[in-house]
Amino acid sequence: MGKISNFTVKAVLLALSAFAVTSTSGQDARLNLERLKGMESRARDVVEVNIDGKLLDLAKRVTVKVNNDEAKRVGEAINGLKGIYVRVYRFENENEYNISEVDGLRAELSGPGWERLANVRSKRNNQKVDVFTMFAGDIMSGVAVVISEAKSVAVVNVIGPIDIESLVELSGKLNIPKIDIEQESKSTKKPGNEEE
Amino acid sequence: MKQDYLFDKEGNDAEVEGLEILLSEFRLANNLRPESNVIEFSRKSRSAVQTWVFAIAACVVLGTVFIGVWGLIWQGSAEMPLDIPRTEVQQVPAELADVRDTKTSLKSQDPPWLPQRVNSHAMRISASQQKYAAVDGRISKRYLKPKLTQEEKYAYNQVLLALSITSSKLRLVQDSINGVDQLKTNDK
Repeated sequence: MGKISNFTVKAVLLALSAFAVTSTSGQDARLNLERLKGMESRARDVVEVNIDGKLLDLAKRVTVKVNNDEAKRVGEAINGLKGIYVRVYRFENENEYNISEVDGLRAELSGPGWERLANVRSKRNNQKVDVFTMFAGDIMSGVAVVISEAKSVAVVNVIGPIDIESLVELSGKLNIPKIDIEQESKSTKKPGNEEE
Repeated sequence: MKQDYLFDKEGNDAEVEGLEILLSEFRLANNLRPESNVIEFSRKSRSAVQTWVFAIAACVVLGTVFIGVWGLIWQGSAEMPLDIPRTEVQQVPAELADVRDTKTSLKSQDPPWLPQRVNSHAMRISASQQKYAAVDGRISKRYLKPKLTQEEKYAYNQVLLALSITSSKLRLVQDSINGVDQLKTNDK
């Protein structure tokens, strides 16, 4: 009886751990962006995009329905993706946000599973750029980009395999507006929200 | 047996004659035809008017079905543009307006009237396409765009927005890295 109960306990623990690993493996690539909620009230411009589940499936369906080059490129870019999460905050003045909130996000990306792909620091506008990737075996399971400057914070979290080089090529080439956050610091403020 | 007796009754054949005597009771008397059990119905001839009526009715039914199906297909494949701005009607370019002055031709051996007919056809197509493009501010073509629901349009636009921001940020990273690399090479 003792041996049976011992074996049962071990089997249950093993099953639970296996379940935990399998259920959380797909969610590890998703960042906790709720920690940036505090910036919304202080930011002048806020862009928040959450695409996953049904919304992503609808978009994939559209890329199949619409038979043009742009839709094909978009379809190739989002093929296999499970989610895209974007947060962009722009502030009126410098250092209006709490840098510890962004550093907390970077600390999360320094955890297990994430690998730093690029790290750029510039004293101009206190610019800090970090790119992280997560791999499940040989397959990319997520990408995270964190860019913080004196007047803006941008976080992009893509879950699923994505070709970074082809995504870079998409910038400004299709009917997608080209966005350059650097231009705001160099020239006068542009009217309206150029991300939308 | 002698075959002649069987066919012409010429000559004598004792064997065949014996068989005839045996089967004489089954011989047809007076070559009368036996009564037939077949009941014959008088065939009514359809009038020519009825035939034409049936033919016209069949054509009307088929035509109605065809028009209905074609209408459904055309309506279903009617395009609904995403966010296409109103376009203005463009005038036919001057180079296409005067067909007689056009000197282009498909082949040098073509008769002189052929290039003009080809270009006049091209001019009609171009003008009709441009006029068609200004209807209700929407761009419509022969190959109609698929109809998208509001949810699909919203999802597609959201994906475009997300991809635009993502690609711009990655471009920024790439430019930053390239800028750093250039500084390093300049220092060397």
